[in-house]
Amino acid sequence: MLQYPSLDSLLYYVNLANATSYSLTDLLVSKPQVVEGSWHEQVTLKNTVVRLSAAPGSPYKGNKQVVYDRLNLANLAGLKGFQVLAYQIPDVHGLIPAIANYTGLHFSTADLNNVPLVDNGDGNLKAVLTAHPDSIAWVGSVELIVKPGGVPLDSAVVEPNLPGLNYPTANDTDTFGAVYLYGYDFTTYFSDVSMIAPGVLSSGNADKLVTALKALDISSGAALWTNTDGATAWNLKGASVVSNGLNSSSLPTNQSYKYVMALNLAAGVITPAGTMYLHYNDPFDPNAT
Amino acid sequence: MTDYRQAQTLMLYDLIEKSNPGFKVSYPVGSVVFGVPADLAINPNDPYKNDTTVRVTPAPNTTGIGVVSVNYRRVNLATLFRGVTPKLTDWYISTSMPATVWIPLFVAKYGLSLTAADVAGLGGITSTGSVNVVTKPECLCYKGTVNLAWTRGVRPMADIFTDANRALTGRLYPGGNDFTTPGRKPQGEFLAFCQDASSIGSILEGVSLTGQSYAPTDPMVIALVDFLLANTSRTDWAARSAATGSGGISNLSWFRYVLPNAAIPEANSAKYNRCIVITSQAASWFSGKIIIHYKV
Repeated sequence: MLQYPSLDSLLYYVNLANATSYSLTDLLVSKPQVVEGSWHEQVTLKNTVVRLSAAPGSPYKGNKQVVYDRLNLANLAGLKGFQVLAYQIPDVHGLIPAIANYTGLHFSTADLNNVPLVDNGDGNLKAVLTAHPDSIAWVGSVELIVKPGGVPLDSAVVEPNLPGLNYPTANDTDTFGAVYLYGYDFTTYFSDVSMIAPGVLSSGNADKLVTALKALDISSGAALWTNTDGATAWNLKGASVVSNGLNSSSLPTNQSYKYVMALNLAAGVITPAGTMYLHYNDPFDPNAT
Repeated sequence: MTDYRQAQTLMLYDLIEKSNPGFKVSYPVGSVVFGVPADLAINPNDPYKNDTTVRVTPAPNTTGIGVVSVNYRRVNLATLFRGVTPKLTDWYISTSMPATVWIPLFVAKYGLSLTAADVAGLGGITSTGSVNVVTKPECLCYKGTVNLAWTRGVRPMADIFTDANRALTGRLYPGGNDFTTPGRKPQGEFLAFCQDASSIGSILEGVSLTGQSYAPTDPMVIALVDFLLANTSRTDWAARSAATGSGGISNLSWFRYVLPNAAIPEANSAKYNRCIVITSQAASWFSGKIIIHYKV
């Protein structure tokens, strides 16, 4: 099973060849050594030898040398369908999870020299995978083109519990000011609304807005708008104009209108809750062409 | 505050990005597909009160891999519109407005991003009536129901003026505005319009109201030729056929109109209550209509 991590792969073939069931905790594996043609005066076609030693505390003792083949990374380039996609990976070690995702080859950081990925000049990156001399399973080197993409969704979304969607205020039982006036057109009251400067409403301006609201509103507050002390609902007394002027797409406002006034009711006035937006356009000029 | 105006997939994209910075880099908009959302029992310990879960997978033919489920909260229309009476006052050609019309009007007026695919039933609204806007279970970002009323409004002028260039055509001088055309005939409307033929009005009262051709010897033809010779600068008026030479006015259709008259608006005049209209033919020496005003 060459896809296994290097030590697991070596152990798999040891057990396969000897009908054993060693585990990784039973054995210590030496650094691999290169062999070529013969080893201990015996002809061999294998390219690597390691010494397997019984781990302290294991039910075994002694050691044994085995020969086997480390695979040449260069051959990866010849495998059809071999590709790796990754986003914003700086170096070879960072690429290891993506290689596992796309090829099933489980390199470890001990297998590969860690070098930066380089810009390939075509929107892709180039990675040079070079086997560390002490890698148990791999030798050689290969260049890989790393195309952008391929981040596993569960890596990109590590927090699946999302904070929303939200209503305009924190209290779900509110009547939301931002929604309440969204559909109303205050253009008829342009001369009154447009002249009001940011700040706390004067009593006169509050009265003007009450008049406008009572005329336009068809919802639950239609007859209730007021400008009096102490009322906790539909009351413009002490309300503050946050802004008044050109509308903006950055505001949660109705973009059918050129102007908008943002109005916060006074503290203690809880209905409607949150910022209200009064939308209006330039008044119609029948002589304009 | 959620921007309800955004397309629902974008609302969810933003929500994922908020908790998972960089998500949009790895998965640009359009590179994932949201499955059918499913209700989720609200965990009392969940500060977000999430009530929905949806499966996210890479879009076909993209480079993404894997799958993940995210939990979020859908916007309940009944909660969002608490205290609000959603109502349309738009004009529609019929007294029954179909869902394909009221859904876009509703979302535009109230800043939502519902589509017809999100709404169950898709019933129409009758004028002065209402409809329940019921979201489908598979709607990604909305749930619940709200009642939408409609009072049929007045028709907007823009609906009537449908020409893209708002251009009016056909406002031309009789015979057209090109006066340089070789061989262009004299225009009848300009030959005698300003003349007051009241002095021969009693004679012209004999002209047919329904149109008739008169011979060169007819006393009305002779009287009118004499009048035109005496009162216009043209010197070739003659009691002959209009097809045989310049100035002839017989053998054409003569009409008498009582003014004002919608059938001949170009002849209406505050000064006169009668007119004779002599209509040209292809062989005539003039084009259009000679209009003779008089008062009785």
